[in-house]
Amino acid sequence: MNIVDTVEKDLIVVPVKSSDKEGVLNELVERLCEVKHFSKPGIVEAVLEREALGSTAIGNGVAVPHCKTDLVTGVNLVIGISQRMIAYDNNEVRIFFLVVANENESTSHVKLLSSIARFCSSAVLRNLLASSKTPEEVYLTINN
Amino acid sequence: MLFKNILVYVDNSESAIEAAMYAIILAQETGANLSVLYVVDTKSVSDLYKAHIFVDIERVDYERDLEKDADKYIRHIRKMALKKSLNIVTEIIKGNAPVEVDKFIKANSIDLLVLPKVSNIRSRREELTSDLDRILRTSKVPVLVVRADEEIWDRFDEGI
Repeated sequence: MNIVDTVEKDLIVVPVKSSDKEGVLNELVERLCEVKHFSKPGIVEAVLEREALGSTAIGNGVAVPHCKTDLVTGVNLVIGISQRMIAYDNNEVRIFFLVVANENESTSHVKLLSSIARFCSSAVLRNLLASSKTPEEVYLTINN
Repeated sequence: MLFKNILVYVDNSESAIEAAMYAIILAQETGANLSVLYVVDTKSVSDLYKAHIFVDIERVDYERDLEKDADKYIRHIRKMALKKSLNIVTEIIKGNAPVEVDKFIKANSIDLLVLPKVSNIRSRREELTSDLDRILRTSKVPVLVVRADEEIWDRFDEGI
């Protein structure tokens, strides 16, 4: 399982409307629940519980919030791009990869997170994502 | 005998189950020994920790989950082999899949490697980093890649 196989246009939010960390996480979870018909409150709680263990900002304007929960099926990826930097713990972030996976999908969950980490190691790809104006542009950047 | 020692590499995919089925049928028909190897990808877990995506407690937690997944798949494959009355050797190893497959091949005189289907190329970047692609490219023994096929399931179920 990798980012190319997992990305869905409906699960790309460009631009995110919120201007703070918790707002962005809520917004991305909301999109996930709208598209996949999951239950929002429990998922937000699971994401925030994971954030309490340690920041998911990884540098270079990227955050990879993630969690596992029985409230979803499969492994789900929501991508958010902000037009401005958002304060995220001690970092500033514009690119968000939210990964929410079922408790029984750890192997695929790890594979997807690894794929995201490799993708984000490229400054060119990060810059392309950060400058994307539409979900279509994000989708094409990831698929090329 | 064309092959004496077959190794089928499996991961957590359905295609791996099909590859295992094919390898079981092949071993049965040729009289070759069959080993099944699952590599728990601790390298990726470690890399995620170094990249600050995982915290320490997650590293332990996810590794444990990956081991449980491996155990589940291997138990399923053992049951399949039992249905065909075939004795197989199964191994779960932690590490980096291409490295561990190579070591296993050398240590066990493997002369045929069976792999699940390699993914369609959708991204050159992902192709270069895919474990299966790397195992295929770097194998020092002949490789048989099993395409997903309903026929494999029918053939496997024959005579059970």
